[in-house]
Amino acid sequence: MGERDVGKVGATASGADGRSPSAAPSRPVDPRHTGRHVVLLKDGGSRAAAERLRNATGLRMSMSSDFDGRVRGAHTATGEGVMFERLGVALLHGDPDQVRALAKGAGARKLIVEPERIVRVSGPWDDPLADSEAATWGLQATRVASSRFSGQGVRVAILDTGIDLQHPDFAGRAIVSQSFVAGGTVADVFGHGTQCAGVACGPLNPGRPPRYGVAPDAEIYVGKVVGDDGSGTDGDVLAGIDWAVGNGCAVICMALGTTARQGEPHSQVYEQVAARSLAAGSVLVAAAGNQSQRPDTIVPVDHPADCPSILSVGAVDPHLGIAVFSNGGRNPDGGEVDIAAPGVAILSCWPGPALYQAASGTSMAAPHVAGILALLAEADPAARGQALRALLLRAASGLPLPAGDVGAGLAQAPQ
Amino acid sequence: MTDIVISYPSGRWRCVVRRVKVAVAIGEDAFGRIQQVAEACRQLGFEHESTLSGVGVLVGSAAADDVARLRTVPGVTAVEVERDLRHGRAPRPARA
Repeated sequence: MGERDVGKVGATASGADGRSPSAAPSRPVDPRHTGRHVVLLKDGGSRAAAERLRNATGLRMSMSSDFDGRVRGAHTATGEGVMFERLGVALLHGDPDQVRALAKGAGARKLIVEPERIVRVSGPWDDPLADSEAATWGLQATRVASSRFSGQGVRVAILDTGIDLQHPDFAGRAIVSQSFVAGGTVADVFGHGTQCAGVACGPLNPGRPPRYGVAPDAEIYVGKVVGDDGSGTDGDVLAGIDWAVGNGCAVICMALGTTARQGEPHSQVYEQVAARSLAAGSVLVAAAGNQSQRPDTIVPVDHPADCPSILSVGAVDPHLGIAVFSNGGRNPDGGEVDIAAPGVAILSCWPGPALYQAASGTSMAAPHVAGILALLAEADPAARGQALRALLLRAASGLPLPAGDVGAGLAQAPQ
Repeated sequence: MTDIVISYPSGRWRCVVRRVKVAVAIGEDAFGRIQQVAEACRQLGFEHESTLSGVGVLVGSAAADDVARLRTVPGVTAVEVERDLRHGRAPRPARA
């Protein structure tokens, strides 16, 4: 505890007034405060000091040692206080007047009283990022909004549930599309593919602000590999990869996957395919998966993101903390998360008539990374495949989070 | 995964052949003869549906019991049974 005098007993203190110790404390005016107070006793936290506090405030005092070292704030009911002997600090749960009475006591100069604050686990930015009129929080956090690159001349494949080709935000864009799902067109009934295409390659000036697309001038290749029910098979996905590589896509985004069990080795087929894709100049990006329920349960990175040659993308929230659902590096040999990107409350386009919708998931993080790869590919036309992947990882901004959760850190756009 | 039931006229025999969709990865050294590798796989019961020549994969189906034998074909580096994949949206309501 610091030596600040925030909330220190002031001149308006009324002193011990004989109120009943069970009188309810006033509601705190500041929502950051609980209504209780913490008191630093400069002479330490002895039983004698607790007795002096009792005399000054009328609160029933107990010692933390009475709770066998497991005292909690909840152990203090209204009209009570507890002394943390080793810290020389007391927690008082009384009427503010009872606490202010401390100022009247002879030992007031030996005390510092502060309102008890509500604390929470925080990311590096205490104030969460928010969508602005100009750009979503995801584009701000990744510095896309200030990038001078747009993905011009770079082909980006979105292997997903298809796309709404009639969406006004894609009007005038040359979109090459192909369905790999039996009996279907590329029309996006499910909505997910349109959303992912929007995050990766949405326009600079959408029909409704803010801007949500990372690479507005990238050439869009849509491979429908997931059916209208939101599920697909390895065979269709592999066919989509083959098509995208054959079309010279520098980036292939796969915001899909299936659960990989703890200790399960990654797919040898996908690993070979991803390695060949890299050699051919295509970087495969995949969502790490959303089955975790942090902090209690962290599920291994999904298949196929768990392959070493596929970029596995975890999700962060607007506090730049790890998203509660984001899977983590629990399996060895490729099962790590390689990089992180915004994946909570991500606004993007959606098939009509809704046209726009926010969603959460590592499938919102993966297209951020796919779009940023397109920007990097434009910035360095010689960088493709492994070189492009390395550029992305080198440019990432470190996060004070476990590497197993966020890899190299937060993806960053070139400026 | 498909179960094919074969019933014999006598009614004394009934055989269930479980077929699974598989992806067969071809080694770099066999890229130039991928159709020969496919033919060798077909002779082991592989029902060949498509060739992904850009990334070196054969897609098709096989009896579950034959999957291990496919791995022994020269030029084949991995054989895996297909899994179902899903979109990667979090199973929670969106927060606008």
